[in-house]
Amino acid sequence: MADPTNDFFSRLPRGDHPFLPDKYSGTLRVDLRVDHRTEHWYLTVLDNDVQVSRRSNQADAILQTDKALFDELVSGRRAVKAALLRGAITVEGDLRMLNAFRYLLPGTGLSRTREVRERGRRLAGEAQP
Amino acid sequence: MTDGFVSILDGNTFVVSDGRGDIRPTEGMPTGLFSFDTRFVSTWTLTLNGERLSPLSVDDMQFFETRFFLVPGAATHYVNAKISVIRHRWVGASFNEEVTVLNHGERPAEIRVRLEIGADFADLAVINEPQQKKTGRLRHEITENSLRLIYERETYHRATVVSTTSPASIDPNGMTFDVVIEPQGSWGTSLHVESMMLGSRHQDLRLTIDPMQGRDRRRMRQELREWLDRAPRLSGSSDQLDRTYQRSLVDLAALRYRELTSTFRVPVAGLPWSATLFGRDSILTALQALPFTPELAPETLRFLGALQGTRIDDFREEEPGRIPHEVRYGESAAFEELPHAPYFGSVDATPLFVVLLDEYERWSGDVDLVRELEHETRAALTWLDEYADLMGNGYVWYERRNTRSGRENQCWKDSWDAISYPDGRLPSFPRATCEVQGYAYDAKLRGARLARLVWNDPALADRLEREAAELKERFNRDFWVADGEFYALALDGDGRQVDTLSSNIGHLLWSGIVPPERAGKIAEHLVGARLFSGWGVRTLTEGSARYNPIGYHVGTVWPFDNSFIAWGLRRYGFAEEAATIAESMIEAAQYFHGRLPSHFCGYDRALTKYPVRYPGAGSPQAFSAGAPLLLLRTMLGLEPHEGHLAVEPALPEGLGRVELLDIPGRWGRQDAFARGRVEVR
Repeated sequence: MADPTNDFFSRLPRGDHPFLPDKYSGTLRVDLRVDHRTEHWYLTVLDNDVQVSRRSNQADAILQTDKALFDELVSGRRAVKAALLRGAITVEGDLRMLNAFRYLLPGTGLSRTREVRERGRRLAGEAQP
Repeated sequence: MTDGFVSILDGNTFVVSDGRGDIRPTEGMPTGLFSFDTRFVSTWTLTLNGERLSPLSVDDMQFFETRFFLVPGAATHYVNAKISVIRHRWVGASFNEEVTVLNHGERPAEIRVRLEIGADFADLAVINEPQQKKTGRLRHEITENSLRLIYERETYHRATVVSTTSPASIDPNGMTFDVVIEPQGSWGTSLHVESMMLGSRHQDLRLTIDPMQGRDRRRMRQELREWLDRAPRLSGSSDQLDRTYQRSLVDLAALRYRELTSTFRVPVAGLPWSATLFGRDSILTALQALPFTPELAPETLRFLGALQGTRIDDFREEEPGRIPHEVRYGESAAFEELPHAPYFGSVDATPLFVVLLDEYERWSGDVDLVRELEHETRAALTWLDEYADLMGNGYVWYERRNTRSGRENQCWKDSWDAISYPDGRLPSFPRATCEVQGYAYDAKLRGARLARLVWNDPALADRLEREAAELKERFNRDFWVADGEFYALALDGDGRQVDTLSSNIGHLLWSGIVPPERAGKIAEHLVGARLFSGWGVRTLTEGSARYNPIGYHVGTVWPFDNSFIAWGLRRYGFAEEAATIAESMIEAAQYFHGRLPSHFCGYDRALTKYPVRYPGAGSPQAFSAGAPLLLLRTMLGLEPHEGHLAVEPALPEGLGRVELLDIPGRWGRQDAFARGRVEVR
């Protein structure tokens, strides 16, 4: 069965993520409620390098939510800020870690740039004698 | 505020009531207590023995505090009133009202004081759409001294808690106080209203992250005093200028708010409709206010940098490097029915971010901030080439990807009909408006300066300068309307000119993309009869098919627009033209008690004699409060120059003598003096 959360956490240590400015360093503990248990993940960021572990001693910030919503966040389908406003996630501690997390999230849509550029080139081609 | 409404505010928390302090649903005006885009109080009406009150006067004390003096009954028969009422209210972390009832008679007065209370938790972003039905559940809880009104939808919880210090009989619709007041005596109660945004563990979303929650009235007064003390002191012979200057400083202080997830304080765009963060507005305001309240710039830059786009998202129109357009906190944003948490649909905020960082460094010498924001600034510059150049021909274009709720026009004139051909037709997409190309040009040059000065990247600096030079050449070829001798408003989706004359050309002077030999013609257009109303430069020229003096972006006058136009005119040496605009704006401000609204009507000055109000215009509005400040900078000719402040005044005769003392910057504090010598037409 697809597990976006698992995929997300296994992708990050391979460097498969956007560049993270070095102001974002520290550890984010992610508590995910699933059924009646809580899964813990530790996301440690240092110099654009991301490490993931299931066990650690300290965290600079804690993010808590349901795993179902977290699956959607890490798939890029829902937004962190909206979830905060809904009260569906809570964050405590150093809020920069929340932004570090946001940097790591994938996109959803496709950039229109290429498509529209094609159109532009066609027009330019047509305009030439 | 306008038309008999009274408002008090503290950033994005504000109360709009009628002249007697009552709040009732009102068409066309968002009345109530609002915070973070949610209406926490929608009904708040006071009666004495079933009778409503009439206002004698309203005492506007501070931006966050006001007092109403009232008597029972209708205006026709209150002359012999033996009872009067004072409502003293203020807003900050909470909303507070002290109600005092005075008995001026010779007998004891038996009075039933009734306060109707209601909360509809309406979302300010969709408040004008009555078809929007609330899907959540409203309920209430009553305790001995409080009424708690609650709205719940899944994990989204909002609550209004009204408590009183006096014994009351409390029901779901309000509070009743049965009192007997002795002759020459009084009765009073304090009402305290908490607006709560509750997280999943029932604590307020703002409590964990907002140190502002504990601010009381004394602290707010002190903050305001310190804010005013830090600003340069203005003195001189023009009371008009002085009044406008003080009003601007106070309004900028009043409009600052703190976001949920950051500690920075930046002004919201304006009351009542835009009492939230707009990227463009906050940047332009910080630019206008740099010589006066420089602290707005680093707060704005850090704040927007932390919200900068990191990924592609069609719904939010997010792209890596893009600076957000609008952040909303209401129910529609929370449930992603609207894309506002945050929404990225503007193309000018991103280049303007770079412009502000550079201008701030030139004033402050704060290279640490330039270093701190290197990544964000490079990302913004990259966005211009990688994402904004939709057509691959070197311009910044826009075409919305969110076709349901995205903005069609993503420049500052963002209403649907703002960009049109002279005959009124609307151009195809994508569109590239002229002023944004100027911003991009300026951003590249300023980015080059920062790359060389701070980032130690001369290769990037060379490339940006080369690109800027190419952009200038290309722009002057493609946008110049030869027969009219001005720049086209935009290019359409086929690359053809939208050859409409508009105020946008004034911003091009500010950005410096205009060759000197063309600047004279642009200046002529700007203060010519078709664009200049006598009060200011209109958004759209008279004679254009969509021109309408009461059209939002198609004929009204926007003070902020005028302030940047004046700055641009001065840059190219058109001191008289700049002074003309500055003087007329300061004069216009007097018709609004020194507080320029977001915009006013574009009627000819000779026709109306005064600047005609636009119904529902924003006031206070951050970049309108900033306009007199930038105009003052422009008239005094203030420019940071190699570590010192250059002063080169060109003051209109009518303003007499002006002294601005203790202007902050990398030089410490410096004074500027000027005498009005410029004759204005």
